[in-house]
Amino acid sequence: MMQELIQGLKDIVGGEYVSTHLEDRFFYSRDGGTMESFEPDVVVLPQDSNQVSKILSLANKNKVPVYCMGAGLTLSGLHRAISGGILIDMKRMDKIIEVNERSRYVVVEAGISQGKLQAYLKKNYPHLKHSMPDAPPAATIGGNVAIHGSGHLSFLGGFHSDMVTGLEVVLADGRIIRTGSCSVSNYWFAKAPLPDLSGLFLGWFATTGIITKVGLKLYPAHPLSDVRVLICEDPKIMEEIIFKVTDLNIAEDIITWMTPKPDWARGFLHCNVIYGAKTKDELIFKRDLLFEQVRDLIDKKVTGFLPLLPFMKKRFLDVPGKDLVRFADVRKGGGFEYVGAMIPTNLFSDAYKLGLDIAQKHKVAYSLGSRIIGNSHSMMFFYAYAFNRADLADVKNAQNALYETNKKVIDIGGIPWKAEIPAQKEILKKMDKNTKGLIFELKKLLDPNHIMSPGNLEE
Amino acid sequence: MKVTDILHRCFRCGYCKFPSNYEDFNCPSYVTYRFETFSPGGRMWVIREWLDGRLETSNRFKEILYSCATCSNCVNHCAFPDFRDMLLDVFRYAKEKLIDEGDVPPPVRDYLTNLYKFKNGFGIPQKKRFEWAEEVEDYDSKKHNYLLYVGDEACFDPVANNMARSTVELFKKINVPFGILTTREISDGLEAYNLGETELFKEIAKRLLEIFKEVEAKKIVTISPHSLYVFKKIYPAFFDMDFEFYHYTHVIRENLSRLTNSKIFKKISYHDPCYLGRYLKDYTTVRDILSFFCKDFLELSRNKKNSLCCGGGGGNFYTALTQKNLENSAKKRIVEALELGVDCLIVSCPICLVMLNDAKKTLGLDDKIEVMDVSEFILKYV
Repeated sequence: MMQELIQGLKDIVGGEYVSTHLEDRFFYSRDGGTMESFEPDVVVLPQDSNQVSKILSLANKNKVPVYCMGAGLTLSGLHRAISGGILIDMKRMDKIIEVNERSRYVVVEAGISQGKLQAYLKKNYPHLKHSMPDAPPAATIGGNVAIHGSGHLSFLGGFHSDMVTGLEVVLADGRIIRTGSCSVSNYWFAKAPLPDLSGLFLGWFATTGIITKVGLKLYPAHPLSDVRVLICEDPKIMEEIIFKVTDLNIAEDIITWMTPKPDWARGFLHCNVIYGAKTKDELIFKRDLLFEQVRDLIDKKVTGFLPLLPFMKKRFLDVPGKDLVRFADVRKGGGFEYVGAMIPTNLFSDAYKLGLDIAQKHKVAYSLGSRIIGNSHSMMFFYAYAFNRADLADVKNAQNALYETNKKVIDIGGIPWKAEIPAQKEILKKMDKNTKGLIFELKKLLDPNHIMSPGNLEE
Repeated sequence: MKVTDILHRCFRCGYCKFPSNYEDFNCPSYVTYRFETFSPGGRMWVIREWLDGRLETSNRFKEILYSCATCSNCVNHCAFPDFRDMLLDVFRYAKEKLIDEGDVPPPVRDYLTNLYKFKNGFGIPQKKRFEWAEEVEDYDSKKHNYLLYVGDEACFDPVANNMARSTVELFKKINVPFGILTTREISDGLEAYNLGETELFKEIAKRLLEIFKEVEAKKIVTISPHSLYVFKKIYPAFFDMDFEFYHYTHVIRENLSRLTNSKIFKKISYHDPCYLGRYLKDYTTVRDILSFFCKDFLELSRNKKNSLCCGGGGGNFYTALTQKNLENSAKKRIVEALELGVDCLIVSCPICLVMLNDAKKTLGLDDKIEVMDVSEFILKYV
């Protein structure tokens, strides 16, 4: 049957884009994180939605599992073929279909990289931008919205899934459906006022369908931007700083970071406030507003602004920033993984303490921080642990630290983001029974043959 | 640090596949195959598995290794400064191991066999090397300032040969005293080096240097940037030598005053070759020449260190592994140039000239855009 299936896949996408070679199956069996490998039987690279539809029809008919991968950068091993079968690499689907300048949205194929969209907008619509995640530019738009990613405009616009204006999705049986306004109109302007079917595919680990097109909100790209960094030593003061800065509402992006390296940063909590402006006067005005907003804390000498040299500013303002991935080489070993925990902003101190305790206990190289999401209703608090891939004990150590972090995040009231399979199980354990029941019913309804990313969202 | 010490340090971030602005994939083998294994990072992971004995040598593995066009985009864009300079070294190390095992893809084997037997990769007898150049003088150190080293591609490939003929004609026009090696010229050996056949490379390089010494060459001008690179950067790692090396465009720029400054009203652009650009960091010579003549010089968005390789380096000109599928970087380059609205795409490398002309023909765009080298352009339009 497998041979027939593979021939069927070749007929759909062309022989050169189907591989059963061991080399490909090995590479696609894992990502840069700590999760163990699971090899697909076959890797396939479709070029458009119709091909995805045919692949799913074929897989459904043969009851063969299907997994889906963008750039494979979740680091939690979400694309791994736990039950074998077909792995679809989406990156040949990378067209920009439409930019609606006045309504500020773009429609893209899901496999387009963040970098390609950013470059296209800079060149053709320099006054518009989309929210870039801190992931490398290879990360795909479809993958990132599917996992509720966040990025450098998330303070303004919330999670990247909140910025979705519509989706095209291929269901397990091969049907192609649309969510949002594009299901009724030629325009992909909003999810409202219809029943929000997008929610059936965002955060589901591709267990309900494969997103093939995305309508995404765009935002004004200001010609000028600046970053100011507030520092303090007490996490409770950082909570206060976050509250005050978010209350001011001038920022595009607010990020906190705490790391033992470089030495000058050790022991301090930092809060980057990034804002844009149309003119220099506006930029200065915003800078002054920010100063006034935290003046009382400065007067009390519990916080202050970090003096920044131009190269440091550039580093903080670069989107995406290459420095972030360099954390993977801290242990000279090509690896880091992080728990990105969605946590209410008021739990900042608890979240910070949790990270320090675990790093100390497991003696792992760590970096902690958070991105404030959507006017500070929540934050994505990250606990990143570096490891040396060539040292299996070191990998195991990081894996243990991650697992413990995931559990403790749930304990304090947060929820692990893009959760590894062990963390998914922990989330489901804690989840309201009726909610969980509904999730399983919906999965069954949309995927009766259980071919979509089996192993994910399962107890 | 051993080259193999970096293999586990690849984080799969993918920066290696992009240019600086991330506008599209910039790795020729990845553009052709689109499987992650054909990206520089993928290659690192697969080599590690192979060296550790968890993957056996297979045709796929060989294809993954030998489809690397050695364009050096990955070296320029990898996010890890501590080891990015060693990326191509580790790929070459793996290819050396395959050569030691005697297990390389047939087109690689054929190329190396030709090189061994005929001292050129085309498998054509040496006496035919300069049949096209009967009127060009043999190099005489007392008479000629420059020894023109033409190289395999510009001697034997009919399209690339136009570049050699034009260069010769232009040099004569601007009174550059030069001569050639006629039947004594042999391959520069770079592709043997790139394909992992280091011993053959050393043998060829040693012989060529002996020839340079025998004719008392001092200033050697190359047609191909690949030759220029191997002479300037790789030969000295193996041999003591004392020559000056130039690219033919350097000589043209030095003698620009001998040409009429007639403005050409054509929209042109320039495709930076990897070995003159990313390898030797020369981004200005050809631009100086072109801007001397042309009012409408347009830059491709992927230029200089972000140039999209034609896919012909690393022996792929001969093995055609980067041309295996329908999509390839040479075709993308032609489309980019057309979208920019240029009439003429200028190159300064015989391999690029052939690859891009082939792509243009395959796309059925022969009448839409010209692809020619600097000397052809000057002779035709100045």
